Order: sequence, then C-alpha cells, then structure tokens
Amino acid sequence: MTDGIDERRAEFARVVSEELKKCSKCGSCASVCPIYAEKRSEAFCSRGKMQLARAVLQSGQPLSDRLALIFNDCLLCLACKQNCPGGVRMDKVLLAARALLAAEGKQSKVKRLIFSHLLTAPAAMRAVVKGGSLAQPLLFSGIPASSGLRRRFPLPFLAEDQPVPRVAGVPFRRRLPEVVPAAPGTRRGSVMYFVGCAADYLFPTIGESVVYILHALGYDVIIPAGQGCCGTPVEVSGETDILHGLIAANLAAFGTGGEPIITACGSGGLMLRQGYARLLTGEDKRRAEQLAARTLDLTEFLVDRCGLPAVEALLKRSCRQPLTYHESCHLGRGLGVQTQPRQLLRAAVPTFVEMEQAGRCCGSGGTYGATHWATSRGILARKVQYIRQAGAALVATGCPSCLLQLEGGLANAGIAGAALHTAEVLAWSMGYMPERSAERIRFALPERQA
Amino acid sequence: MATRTEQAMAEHARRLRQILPEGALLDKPEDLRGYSYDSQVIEAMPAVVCLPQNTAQVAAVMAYCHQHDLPVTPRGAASGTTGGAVPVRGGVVLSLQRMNAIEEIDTRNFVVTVQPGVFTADLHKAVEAEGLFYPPDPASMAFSSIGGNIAENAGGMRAVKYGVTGAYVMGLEVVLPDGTIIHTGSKCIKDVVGFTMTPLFVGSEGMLGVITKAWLRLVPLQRHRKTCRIAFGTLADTILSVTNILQEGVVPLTLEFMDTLAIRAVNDGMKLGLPEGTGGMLIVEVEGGEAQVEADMRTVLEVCRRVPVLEAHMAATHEESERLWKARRAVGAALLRLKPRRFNEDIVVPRARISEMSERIQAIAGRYELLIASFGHAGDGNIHVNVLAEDTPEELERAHQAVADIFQAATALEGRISGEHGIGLAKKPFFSLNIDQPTLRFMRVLKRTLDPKGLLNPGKVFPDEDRDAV
Repeated sequence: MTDGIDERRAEFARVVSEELKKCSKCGSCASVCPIYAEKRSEAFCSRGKMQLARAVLQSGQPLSDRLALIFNDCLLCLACKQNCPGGVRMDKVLLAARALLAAEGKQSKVKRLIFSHLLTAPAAMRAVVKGGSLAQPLLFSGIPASSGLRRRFPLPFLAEDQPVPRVAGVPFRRRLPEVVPAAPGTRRGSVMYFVGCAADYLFPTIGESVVYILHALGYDVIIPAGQGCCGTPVEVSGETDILHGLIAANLAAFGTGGEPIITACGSGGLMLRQGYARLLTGEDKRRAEQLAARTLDLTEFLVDRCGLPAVEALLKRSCRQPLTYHESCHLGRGLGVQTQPRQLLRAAVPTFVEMEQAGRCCGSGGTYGATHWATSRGILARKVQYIRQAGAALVATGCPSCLLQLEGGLANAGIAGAALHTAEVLAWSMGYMPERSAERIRFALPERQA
Repeated sequence: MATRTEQAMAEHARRLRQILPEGALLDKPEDLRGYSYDSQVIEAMPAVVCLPQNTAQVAAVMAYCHQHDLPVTPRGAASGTTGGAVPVRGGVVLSLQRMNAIEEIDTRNFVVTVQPGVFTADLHKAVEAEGLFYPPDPASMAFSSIGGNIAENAGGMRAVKYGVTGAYVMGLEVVLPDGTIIHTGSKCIKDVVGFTMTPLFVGSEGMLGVITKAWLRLVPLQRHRKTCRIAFGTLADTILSVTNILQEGVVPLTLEFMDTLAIRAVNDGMKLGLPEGTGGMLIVEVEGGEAQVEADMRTVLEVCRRVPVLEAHMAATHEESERLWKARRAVGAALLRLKPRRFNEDIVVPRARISEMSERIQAIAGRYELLIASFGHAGDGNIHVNVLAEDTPEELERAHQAVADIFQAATALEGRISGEHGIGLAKKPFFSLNIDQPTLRFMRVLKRTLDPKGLLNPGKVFPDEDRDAV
C-alpha cells in the first residue's frame, strides 16, 4: 500500500505498462461490459479506459475531472478480465487509477469522510445506526420519516426508484454472542464467521441464517468481535491509506488459528482471499496468505467440506415457487464459486430454474448503484428481464450488495421481497424463521407457498 | 487562444450537436481518444464523434459534413486489424454502435433485418433461438459488429461450407456521402430490377457509403455436429489431408489447421495434451442430420489415415468441442507470449495451392530467420500467417521484409494479399500486387462518382497518390 502521490503515480505507471503489453485493442471487453452496453461510448469500456491510462502515462499530466469521472465509472465486475484473450487485468489498472485520483484529491470527499470516520470505527457506525452520532446528519439527512422501514441513503443525487438500504434496528453482531457453541452431542468442529458490513447492518437475517446453518451442522461459530469492514468499498474508491487499519484489524481478529473462515459475501470473500495478499508486503503478506487459505464462501464450505448429503439431511421444507440464482460477480468470476450455490439451491428448492446470463452484473457494484444510478438502473432492468424470462418468482444470490440491488429492481417491477441470500434460502429450508416481524416480511413469500 | 481551425471545428460541433440526440456528440479529448484506434497500431484523433441512433440522424450528419467539407470515418466495433476505422484525416468519426437493434427475424422467409451495430455473436444467438442459422463466423464475432462485417466482407471458419458475409447480404440501406438514403436489393431471393448494387457496398471498407440497415439471408439450423482433432507428424501431411477430405466429397462445416508453432503456443496454456512430435493439426467439424454427421466423420477419419496419423480425437461433449474452438481462437493472442510483436496477415490462395504456399512461407521464415506461425482456414485457402518478432528495429525490419515476400508469394500463386481483414491503412502499399492500374483507375472513378469530395473514410485502401496515379 503506497500512500504518497509519487508512489501512487509510480504504481499506476507500473500497472498500466504491465497490462498494456497484453492488450491488442481487439475490443472483446466492450462486448461483455455492462456499462458499455448502456452507454455505447468507447471511453466507458476497458479498451477505452486502457488507452486513456496510456495517454495519462505518456503525458505525465495530472488526471482531469473528466478522467476521474471515467475511471470511477466501472463496476469492477471482472467480465472484461474473464473474457480478455490477452489476460488484461483491467481491475488492477482501475484500482491504481483510483488510488492516484485519491492522492490527487479528486475522489468523493463525502465517501472519504464516511470511510475514515465510520467504517474504520465500528463503534461509531453502530452509534449512527442507533441514531446518536455527529455523523448522522451527513449520512441520513433530509430523510422523510414517513416510512419506518425505509431510510434514505445520504447522497444528494438520489432518485425516486433507487434501492436504499433499510438499516436494521439491531445489527446482527449485537444479537449474538461472540461464540455460538454447537449443540451438545452434535459438535463437528469450529468455524469463524466474517460478517461484513451489509449482513451486520442491513441484512442481519443473512448473518442469522449463516449461523443457523453452521450450528445445525454441528459447528461452534466464532464471530470475532474485533472484525470490521473488509475494505472493498474503500479500496475501490482509491482511499488505500485508510485500508491499513481495516486490514490489520481483521488480520488480528481472525488470528492464526486453523479454523475455516466463512464468508457469505462475494466481495468480502474476494477481498479476504485475494485482496489482502495483493495489497500487503513482507510478513503482513504472509499472514494475509494464511488468512486467504482459510477463507471459504459458505457454499464452498457446505459442499466441498461438509458434503451435500449432510446439508440435505437437514432440509425440512421446500419452497414451491420457481427460484433462480443470480451469480454475484465477485463470487462467480472473482472466486470461481459457481457450481456450489447451484447444487445447494437445487437440493433445497425443487423448482429451481436457471436464468440466462446468471453471471451478468446486476449493476450494484457496491457503491456504484448509489453514485451512478442512471446507468445502474439500466443494467438492473436487463437483469430483472432475465429473471422474468426464466419465470422465477424468487431470486437467490450470494452477495448482500446484489441482494439490495435486486430487491430494489424487483420491487420497482412490482415483485416485492423476492430477493434472498442463498444462506437465507437454505436456512429457511432447514426451519429458520426471523424473530422480528419486520424481517419476516422478506421471508413471507416462500412461507406462504410452502 | 484557439486557432481558427479549432474555432471552426467548435462551431461544427455545436451545429452537429443540434441534429443529434442528447449525449450523442463527443468533443472532449478524453472521449475522443477512444475513437482514435482500432485493433491495429496506427492511431489518429478525430475532432468530434457522432453517435446517431437512426438512419435519419446518419443522413443529417452526412449531409452536414458534405456541405462543410468535413471528413467522415464510419466506425463499427473497431475490432478491425488494418486500421480501417482510424480517422487519419481527423474530422468526424461516425460510430454506428448505438444503432444495434435486431429489427425483425422473419422465420417464414428466412431473413433477418438488422441495424449495423449488432454484435455478430448476438445475431447468431437470436436467430438460432428461432431455429435458423447465420453462417458467417469471423473469429472476432463476439466483439465485431455486423455493419463492420459487411463493410469488410468478413469471412470465418465456416466459409469452407457456407461462403463469406457477402453471400448472405440480400439488401442494404445505405447513406451516401451527400446524405442521400438509398436501398439496394430486397428480401426476394430472385431480384433483377436494376443494377445488382448490394455487392458494391459489401467489402467497400466504408469508402462508398454508410450501411445503416441490412437484410440478411438465413439457412436452417442443423441440429447435429461433431468435432474432431487430428494430429499429424508433418505439416505437409496435414495439408495433403485437407485436399483429400474435400476431394472425397465431404464438405465440413469447418476445416481448420494449425502448424507446429501455433500448436506450441496454445498447447501449454490450453492443456490440449497433444502427442509429442505433432507437426500439424486439423480441427474438423461436420454438421447435418445424425446419420450424415456419423458418415461424414467416418469418411474424414478414413481419408486422413492415408497418411500417418499420430492421434485422432473426437470431442465427446459440446464442452470439449468448445474447448477445441477456444484453443483455435486463442492462437493469435497466445503467439504474443512467444514474441512481443506479431504481424497477423490473412493471405488467401486458391485452395489447391495451400501446400505450395505453406512451403514458401517456411522458406521465407528460414531466409529471414524469423518465427512464422501459420494457421487458419485450410478448407478455403485462407491462411493466417503470423510473423513474430522481437521489438528491435533490426528484427522488425526483417519482419516487414518477410511480410512483403509473403504477399509476393501469395500473388505468384494466384492468391490475394487479404482474404478477410481488408486493406485499410496497413496493406495499402501492397494493393497494386493484386489490382492492376486500369482496375485501380476504375475503382477511383466509382469512388469519385459517389464521393466527389473524397470525404468518406479518406486515406484508406487505395495506394497513396503519386505522379503516375490518375
């Protein structure tokens, strides 16, 4: 992690030169880029951005505002990377460009403030959620209090139909102790759970579902108190200096024991498994690699370690509505976890249907949906169309950020509460039901039809 | 202080912006950069980019540019490899990427109506969902657009059985350089009303008009396919088998070959697990009814065994055959791992002369001490000759000489310097190898008739004017 502007410029130059060698400008990236499909303007596909990066390198000039806008207009969905015949890693180029933009003071000040004051200090985030923090006016100002369920995201460019997170009344980690021991007589071992911000503050039922499943399988579930944000939203915004503290906290929280670390978030899992080791050097890198080797997506753990039959033995009820699967970019392309969620969902839901383009980005991209809603909305509309064409009433996904986006998209299309996390579908099938009535609403659809 | 030219251009941009929808005119340098290249090395910046959404807007832009003497370079997906979409005279780049609707799939008449910006692979998918088939499959089909395919008369692997893009273009809507909208051909299989003008625009490399709509002929989709790879000890045996297969009366859907160097480049990365000592490989795919496919594949294997075969491996599943094709399509990119520079030429010879051509290529490689890989469409005589080089002036110079010799050799064998990539900027100096002076003069007459001011895709295809040129 380099913090000075000169170091970041050098890092940008190194990454761009390395990736340029592999680019033959064929344009195959444009054909799979969800943003290019909306805009059809070359600067917004990877080939265009790569040539702009090259121009920056050659000119040696600071980045213009227009370039800042262009380099920030990418979902990091990795579709171009997977499709590139030359193996160009455009994600690396864009992260380096954004780190440089941050050093030049061209990244969003609002975002930086949120990252530096909230995400790095979980206690402050909890205070915000409770409603007492100084930062609250910034985060939730101007929110009509008309709906207790809907709370509005802070940013001024919010559109009417934009998905907004409903902050949970009680965050997930305040609901459970740090260790949830296996029931006596069933114990098979211990696992650690990396929760991530979204399952903690926005979708606590994801966290509860993960614990429910692991507990049912006979595992002690350790939810280390010292863990925090994985750092993805911070890195993708280029604020790499803030990352140090986040990563250090997580490395410390998960220690050096041998327990598998379970994630239920594509982006969080990708960060733990690939990001930390990429960002660190020396001894820290070694520790990050050890952490990476222990990290598994829930569905990988269930299928590859526990085995499908062990999971199947716990299924008590099955949803009878057609359910399809949206493959999160970072879980599917990033971590290569593609078959396991489908195996589990097929086992739990007899009416499982595949949709076309299941791995196409939903337009969420973490904070992309919040900052680039016009484009995000178009990408989401295509995804909703594929869900509809598949005849699905429900959609499951492995990333809470996609979940938020899909929920909004389906709600706008008149299908409320139809998006669930894979863990929620499995836990529900095993008999889990949220205790809080407001949270039960999300589970109402399958329940009615079971 | 803006120069007078810049001021004039700003005024043009302002006027053009008025005739286009919002956000459809780009003039910031950061946005223009993306329109300065295709998949070749030469680059040039346009002054403005227009992104029209319909034919009327294309016509309005063309009329404006004609009136104000602005050069216009039409651009599809810019996947071309000869610089055809590079605005070497500046001016306006006219991107057709926002005209990307498949307007109609006429399943009774087997005709699809498309706008030029549709990615070719998307067209394949759409018509195949209706049980129909659009045969042309340039290697770039996933990221090249149909308008560009028509303007380049793109080929592909299935040309051995089905021919090239031009064979499927029934009619076109074209905007001429002065903004006039014309229509050629029709949806009728037989049509002799007036001149047959569609072929004039097919392969015209954007120099005669802007294609804004096309009516394409479709054929029934064959449900059964079988793919096989056959490894030979020598390239000569590989090529001989191509001739043998075709003379036996089997017309495969694809009949592709790879030489040792091409195999070496993909074998590691793709884990093909080819036998040691493989000197050449064929990838053969047959299609048709189930019985026909079995019979054809049997014949192919029997015919190949007239020479020593190291291994014949039938793809057992669709995935396995996809992997084979992926390996074939990956050759170009994989070769870059052997050497940093690659000159990808697409010479074509009458099919029976492929073995002579391949011997000459090997001799040229020896003469210039270069790595030259050959692979591609053995079934139709179109060879992708890839001259590899280090990035040193001395070796690049040898590579350029080798390319010139390869063009000479192809010409000597009644071949052509380009089978599917077109001339663009890259092959202009060699144009006259294939086109004699009276023929070139006739082409210039055609060009001047349609584009008297020489504004449409200027600087392409024809050799640069010299004292002898008319």
